Amino acid sequence: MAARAGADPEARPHWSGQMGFVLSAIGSAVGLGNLWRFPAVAYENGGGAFLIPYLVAFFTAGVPILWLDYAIGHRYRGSPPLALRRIQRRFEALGWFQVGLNVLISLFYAALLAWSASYFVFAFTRRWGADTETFFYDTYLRRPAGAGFNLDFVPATAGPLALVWLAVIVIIALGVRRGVERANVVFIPLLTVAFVLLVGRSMYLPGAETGLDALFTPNLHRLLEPSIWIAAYGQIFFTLSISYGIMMTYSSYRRRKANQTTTGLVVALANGSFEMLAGIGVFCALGFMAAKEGSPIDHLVGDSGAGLAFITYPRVVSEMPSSAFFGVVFFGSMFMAGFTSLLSNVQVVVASAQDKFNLSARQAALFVCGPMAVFSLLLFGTTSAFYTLDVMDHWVNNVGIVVSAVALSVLVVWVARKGRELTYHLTVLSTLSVGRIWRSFAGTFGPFVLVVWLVQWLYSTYANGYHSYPRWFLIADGWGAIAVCGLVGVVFTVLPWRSQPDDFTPWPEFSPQVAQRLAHWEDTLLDLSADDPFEAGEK
Amino acid sequence: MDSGSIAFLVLALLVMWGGLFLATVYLTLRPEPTAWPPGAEDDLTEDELDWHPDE
Repeated sequence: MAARAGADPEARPHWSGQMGFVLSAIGSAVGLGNLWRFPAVAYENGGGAFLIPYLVAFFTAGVPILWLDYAIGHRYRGSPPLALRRIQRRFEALGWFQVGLNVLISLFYAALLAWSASYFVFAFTRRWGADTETFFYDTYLRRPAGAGFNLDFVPATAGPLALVWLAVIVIIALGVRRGVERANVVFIPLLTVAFVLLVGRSMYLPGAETGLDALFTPNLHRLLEPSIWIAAYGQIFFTLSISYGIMMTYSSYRRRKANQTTTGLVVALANGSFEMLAGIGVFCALGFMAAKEGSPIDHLVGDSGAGLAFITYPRVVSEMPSSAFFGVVFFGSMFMAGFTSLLSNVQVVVASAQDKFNLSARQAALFVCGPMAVFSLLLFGTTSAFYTLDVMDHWVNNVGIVVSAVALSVLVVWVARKGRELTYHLTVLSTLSVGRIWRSFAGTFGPFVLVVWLVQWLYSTYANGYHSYPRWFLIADGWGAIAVCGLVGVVFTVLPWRSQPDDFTPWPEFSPQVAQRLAHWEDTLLDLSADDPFEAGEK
Repeated sequence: MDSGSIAFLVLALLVMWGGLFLATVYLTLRPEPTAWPPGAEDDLTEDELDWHPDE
């Protein structure tokens, strides 16, 4: 029988080592968004010039907030509800809100993976034919004319969806090291090889240069537009899987003596490298297609979501030499990138249930993933799946995760005043130090930019709606999803713990003396002759 | 490709791929700090670990 860790930090599962953690964290960060969101967002927001705000956002919000997640999960040794409760009891509700977000994301992300798996098979014979749009919406998804919910199951999508959930349940039941880590250790190197093959071949297609020109030609005058900067911060924020519990959970599985900041930097840069690679590959392919059709490239970059992957890309694949190979590698890459991200979403939910209800990995896989699979099939195995997915995805990402991130920074840094303690934690355990600048970015600048993003999004959605969906559907599916997360936050906080969450002392100790030494160290940081206050420890 | 797009392509690759290379080399050369704070004596570092309670 598998051991039950509950909230006991000593019995918590662990990664097999630093490499296992790094690969799993990269697996979580590199997902479908890298493949289909980044290229379109970069193109729409100034092309090459977008890279300037993108890189600024990477270093001023992405990496600092990623480190904040690591610090909280690692210092307080728990899934979001447990770690946040250990900071302050009432913060547990935010942890459960994050769990709610991960539940919803898992439900629709599994559907996207099921579609990718189907297209992986279709690619062998290019079953989508000449009209990829009609094939995707009408033949494959059997999408009805108007948005709404129904229970008309589509065997072609529900079957693969059930298989995706079966795979998830088996891997989660195997535990953190034997299940999640091993899946990442297999998939991430495979994904890297597949990506390099795909991009390498794409660069030699006729017309690839036109695609690269479209992606990288800098419209520098656009740097003066605030919307470009907001888009860059949004992209960085969404691509790194930060502030909704994943990185907190993953870092809670690390040993106490574990390098935090340098591994975080490697993970963030690896994600950025995949993103650049995807941008290059996708735009080379689009350049080829534009040359083939004799049409401008912007006709092909209309969609940054599923449309790019399931409508535009199959068209491109059909025109390519060795098209079956290209299609198989593209949809195989998409499946691998998405599957490792899905595992991380589900692991947040499972870890939180394990911590609170003292369950083993197998029990959690059965009692947590089982019901999630059923809900996923009910919502996304039907003809209304596309509409439900589109709206839920939009609201969970733009409202749910942004609210969660702002609340996390404000509560931890400003309400609980844990900024210095977490600075100390990261610095003494890592080979890269952090200080006041990190606290400013993670605690002030990051949340400020996200509030600006949220206000802009709310204004635009209120004024323009979302696509042409009826208002009742946006309220039910979009705002309803956020309300469900809020409800999860309240209900699961009220339920009693079946372990001892508060029987815990964070390590390393942060006493008033240590706080004083930290302040002194920060004051004299530029004075190389000053004593390093953290060198006095043991080896 | 025009010179502007080549410059930005190179910038992107240098920062992301170059940064990844440097960060990985740094992590390999210095995987851990030279000293730890007191306490947690019984806890191993990640690469000394051979204990898996979830199995």
